[in-house]
Amino acid sequence: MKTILSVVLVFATAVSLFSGGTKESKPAETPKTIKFATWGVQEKGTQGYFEGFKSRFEAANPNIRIEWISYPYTQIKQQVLVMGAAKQIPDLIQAERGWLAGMISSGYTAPLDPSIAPEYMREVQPALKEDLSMDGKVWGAVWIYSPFILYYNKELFKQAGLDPAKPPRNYAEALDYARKIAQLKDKDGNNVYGLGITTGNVPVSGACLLSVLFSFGGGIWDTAGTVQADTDANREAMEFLSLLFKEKLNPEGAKLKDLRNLFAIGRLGMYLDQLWGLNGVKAINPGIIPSVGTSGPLGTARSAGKSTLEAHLLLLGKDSKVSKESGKLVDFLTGKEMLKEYLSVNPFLAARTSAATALTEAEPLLAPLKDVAGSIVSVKKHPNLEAAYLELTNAAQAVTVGKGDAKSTAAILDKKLKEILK
Amino acid sequence: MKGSHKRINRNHLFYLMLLIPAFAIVSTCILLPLVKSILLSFQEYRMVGPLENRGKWVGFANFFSVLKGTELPNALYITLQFVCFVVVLEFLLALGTALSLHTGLGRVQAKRKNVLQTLILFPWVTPTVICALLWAWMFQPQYGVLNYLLNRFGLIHSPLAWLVDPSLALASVIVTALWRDLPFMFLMLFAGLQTIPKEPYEAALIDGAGTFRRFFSITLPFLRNVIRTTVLMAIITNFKQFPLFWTLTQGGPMERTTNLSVLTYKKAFIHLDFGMGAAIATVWVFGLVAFALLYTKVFQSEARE
Repeated sequence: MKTILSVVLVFATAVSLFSGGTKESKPAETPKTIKFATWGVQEKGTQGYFEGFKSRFEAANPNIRIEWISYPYTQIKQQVLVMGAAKQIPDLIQAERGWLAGMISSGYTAPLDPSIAPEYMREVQPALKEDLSMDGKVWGAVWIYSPFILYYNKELFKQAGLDPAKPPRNYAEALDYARKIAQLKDKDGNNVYGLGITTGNVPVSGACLLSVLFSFGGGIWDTAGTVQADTDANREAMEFLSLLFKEKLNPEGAKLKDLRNLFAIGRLGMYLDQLWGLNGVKAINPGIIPSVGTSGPLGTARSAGKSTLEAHLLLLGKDSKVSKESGKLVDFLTGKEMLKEYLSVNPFLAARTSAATALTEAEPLLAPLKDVAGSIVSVKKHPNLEAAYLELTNAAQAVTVGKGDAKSTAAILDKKLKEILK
Repeated sequence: MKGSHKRINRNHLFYLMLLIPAFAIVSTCILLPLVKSILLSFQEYRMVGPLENRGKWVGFANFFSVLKGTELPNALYITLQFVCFVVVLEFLLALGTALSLHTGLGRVQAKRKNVLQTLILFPWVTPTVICALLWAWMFQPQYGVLNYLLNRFGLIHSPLAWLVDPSLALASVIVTALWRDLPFMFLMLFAGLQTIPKEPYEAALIDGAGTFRRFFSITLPFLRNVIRTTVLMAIITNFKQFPLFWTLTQGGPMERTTNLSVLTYKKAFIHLDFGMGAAIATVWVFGLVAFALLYTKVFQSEARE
């Protein structure tokens, strides 16, 4: 009896601890939090900018907070996909253009519309809007973009007897220039490469190679949308790569970071890169920047220069409870003011027409690229696009270090792409 | 009698309880992921693509797909080449170094012996990824120190693309693996040599046995158990080698250095097809376990003879 009474008393005491309290007053409005998945806040070069815009946005919007979900660049895609599988997709995601199809097909991203990001949707350049559209919806905002452009060293041009104000306009001219530049030696007696086109085993190299195929009039899909890589145009592009390798004009199997390294130390005359690649060059040798020139994608006799769209996107997470606030952040980040600040970190092009003009005026390197949006070719959105890009790098290596012929390589590439992109 | 029986049971219970924490950790960290991975190999599980298909049971479809294609046989061939070259060269070099140091021991002071041993161990204590990065810089075709030295001594006239040339890439990874793993095998063989008694050698010398006879009839038999264990460890370590391959070449060029680990990683984390990656992992893990059991059985039956 005593035991039962003790238990009842203890239970009653415990319950009473949680049942007391006065009538609650109405709580103050709690700020809404945007969970923003990004790699930028982890990188030394961009960390300051990211922390800066966070402070400014929160100061301008006292009821909105930004919470970083930050991972290194090499891990963020996988981590976001895992979060999506766990139904914890971030509200806003910084993503590469190549990830878009996977995000859409997995159902992790919500479309953008004028009610969410009105300023962006009103001003975005049509070619960029079209590239991110599927089934009549726009699936993300372009934060910064760049086609694969030509960076060249004006000093090396002068040494090779070339006019630094007249970069090559097509691959035939580029070959001619490259041969002249390759006659040079650097101050330590090392050879100088003429034209760098990345063939390393990473997806971004594949995107660059696809841009080269486009410029030669080729690609990986035909006009009907069927995979078709075994074409005369693609073989011609592969023969060009093979020629560059045979004449030792292109560093073997180089990734973009290798090309940036060589360009920074004055051992590479010209190379194809995204605009923000200059950040990598600047980190190695800031002194080379005054010698750097830019030109749009190289073309051929048949076709003007073309490129894939390389972009850092802002994607809205599906079923986000703060999509309006995220849209506000999208408008803020893609606006002229914030992009001009971002320009001090690395060069890029802006998606919104008002910002595009301002940036071109602010940065001399962008002046030759003001009409480059027209060179962008919209690439079909396929979840396995990155795997296809890796096959392109395998094909490039087959005709260069593998010493294979373009005909059989194109046939093998076609077979592999048909399997990957089915 | 009853009392001692009770004491034995209590002791057994006590031993079991001591084992529980270790068993719990092993189950959580090894058994559970292994079982999960095997289950995943029977499912369609792509991280991109329609959510409704994710986790669908597909039976042996992943296995049929993997066995039908050319990627698995190619990766297996690369792996076997790598393991054979690394283990054989590692063993020969480690044994040679251990024998040299052992026979020269009398002339080497203890302090110098310790310094030598520490220097020899240096590559082994360096993390694998750091080793790979060091060698990646040395192998760099345009400004790596290896090409510079070879060019300087007139051995080459143009830079070699060590990690990019399909005919050199695997050899370059093998060299890196040798540099990394040789010290451990050397240490084990050297320790084994130190335990061999002097008397059989003295008796053999009296009987007129030459150097090679003494080596094959005395040294190797005494080292048998050490050789068995270290070679098995080397085979397993190199069979599942991933950081070296991934850091140096990412499986390229043209998949000439895509071993089984790299293939598994690519399928799971690059192509984001976890089901296929798990199927590949299941195939070669069980193959490796079967090999290890067979290897141990062969050595044991030889020992009994």
